[in-house]
Amino acid sequence: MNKFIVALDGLRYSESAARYALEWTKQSGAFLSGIFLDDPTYTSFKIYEAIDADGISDLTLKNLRKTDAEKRIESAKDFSKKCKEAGLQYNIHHDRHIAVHDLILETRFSDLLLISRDETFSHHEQDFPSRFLREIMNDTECPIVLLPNTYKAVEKIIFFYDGNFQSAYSMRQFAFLFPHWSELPCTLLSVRSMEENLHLPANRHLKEWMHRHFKQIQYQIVKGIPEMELLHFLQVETPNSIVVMGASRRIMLLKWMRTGLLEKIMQQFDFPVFIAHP
Amino acid sequence: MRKILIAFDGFHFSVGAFEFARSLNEKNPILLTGVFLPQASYANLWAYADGSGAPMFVPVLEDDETAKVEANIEKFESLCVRHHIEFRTHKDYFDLALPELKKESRFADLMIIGGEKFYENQGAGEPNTYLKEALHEMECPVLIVPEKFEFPSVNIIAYDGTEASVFAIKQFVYLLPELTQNPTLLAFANHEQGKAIPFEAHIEELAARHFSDLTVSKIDLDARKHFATWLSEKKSSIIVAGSFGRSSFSRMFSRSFLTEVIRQHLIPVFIAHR
Repeated sequence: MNKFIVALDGLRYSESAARYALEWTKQSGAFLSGIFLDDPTYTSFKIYEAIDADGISDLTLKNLRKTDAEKRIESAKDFSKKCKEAGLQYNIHHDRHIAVHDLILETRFSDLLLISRDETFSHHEQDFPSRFLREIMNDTECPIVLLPNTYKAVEKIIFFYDGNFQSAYSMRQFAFLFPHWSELPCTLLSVRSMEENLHLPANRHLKEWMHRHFKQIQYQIVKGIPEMELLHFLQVETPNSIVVMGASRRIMLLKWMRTGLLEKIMQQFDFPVFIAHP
Repeated sequence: MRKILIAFDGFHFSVGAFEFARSLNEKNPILLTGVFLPQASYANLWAYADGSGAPMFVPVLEDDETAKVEANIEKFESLCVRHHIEFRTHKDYFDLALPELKKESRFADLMIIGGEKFYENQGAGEPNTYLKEALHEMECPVLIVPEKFEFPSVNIIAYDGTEASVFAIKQFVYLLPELTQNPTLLAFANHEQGKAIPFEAHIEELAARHFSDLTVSKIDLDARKHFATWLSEKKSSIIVAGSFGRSSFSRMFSRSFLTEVIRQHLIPVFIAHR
């Protein structure tokens, strides 16, 4: 039985992340841990809100803190209720240290991390990827799925494959975690540069592995600049897809962020994105 | 269905490695890809100068050797047919051994190597330089099997709280789910008195999801000195260990229990590192 975790912010509880976690856990017969990151340095209010004529008012501050604590309990209750209704095996962790550190430790002891792409753990508005998410993506010790804001059932799998270890590793981890999706239609997209031919890198080896794990596969090979072609390709895809990509720690992720590939995918599409880095 | 690689060099045939694959196939069908590497190769050239006493130049296959390799391939194929194992053969003996094997491992779920037979004529000491090099470079988890062993009925997990050791546990349960029902001992070996198991609650939560019969325990002994001896009393088990990156991997090999376990052909060893 795999152990999935979903990272939740009790103050801004993401319904869609909880929904994804519930549905996927149910489908794969996994165990679900709801990780509520109750970071004491993070509050829903700004400290200015507690200021009155005599400076910071203890009473107001106390009340604001109390409201936050209640909100956190409320969110956890809601999550717990939904898990019970769905008949899942689950538990809830309340991690009360710095959110990033707590979550990274949790990923070491989990098979998959589910997190909303809008998670910031800050009361400031931040564009994707938030500082929090950036750190998590870099340092996570298990595969991660960035979830969109509305739930859609997965009907298709899209693999980005470039022949290197990272993309192969990512596909492998995906196959281990979601064996029940092996019957779904998949497309494997490989973008080749203008100087290269139109053959898949390590064609024979790849297909030998691929056909053991997925039943309906389409291979698509195009020439061009990877970032542009990938976005092009996604435009014609059904919205009920999941995108699987690989990354090596730091280097690749930084490259994506520089070229803005991940950001563009997040802005333009509503796909969950699965990333595993070796 | 898992794709499992089994690597043979030249005309050595590791019965232990094949036996393990056969037992796995009995429980859940696998695809077994036999990779046939050059009998000996100049692969040393890619990584290190010759300092180990191994021959510096080893010619590519001569004609009569090719015939022997062909016979070996035939043996592999007929064994697969007899035991109803779906198989492929990859004859990679025209190129350097290790780069070929590395590429094969990128597209496989697990690799099985016969620890005693793998390039046994190369270099002194066991695990020999070839095996160590192969373990460093592979891109999928590796299972090192002695020639004589009992199919594991107990899992022993070497846990030390690091990312690497937990990574190995996860890969182990994905790849060999048929072994997760067996009694499992998650061992934290430490000779320092009073040092608690790191992240005990966390690891228990994860491991208990995967192993139905789990014992978490702390063993008060010096892992480097006595672990192998302790293991030798535990027949028919498999050991799961991880290592992170190359440097600590080298370190692990130079002064750790795993070397002993492999050298003494005690039990199968599952190693996953990223």
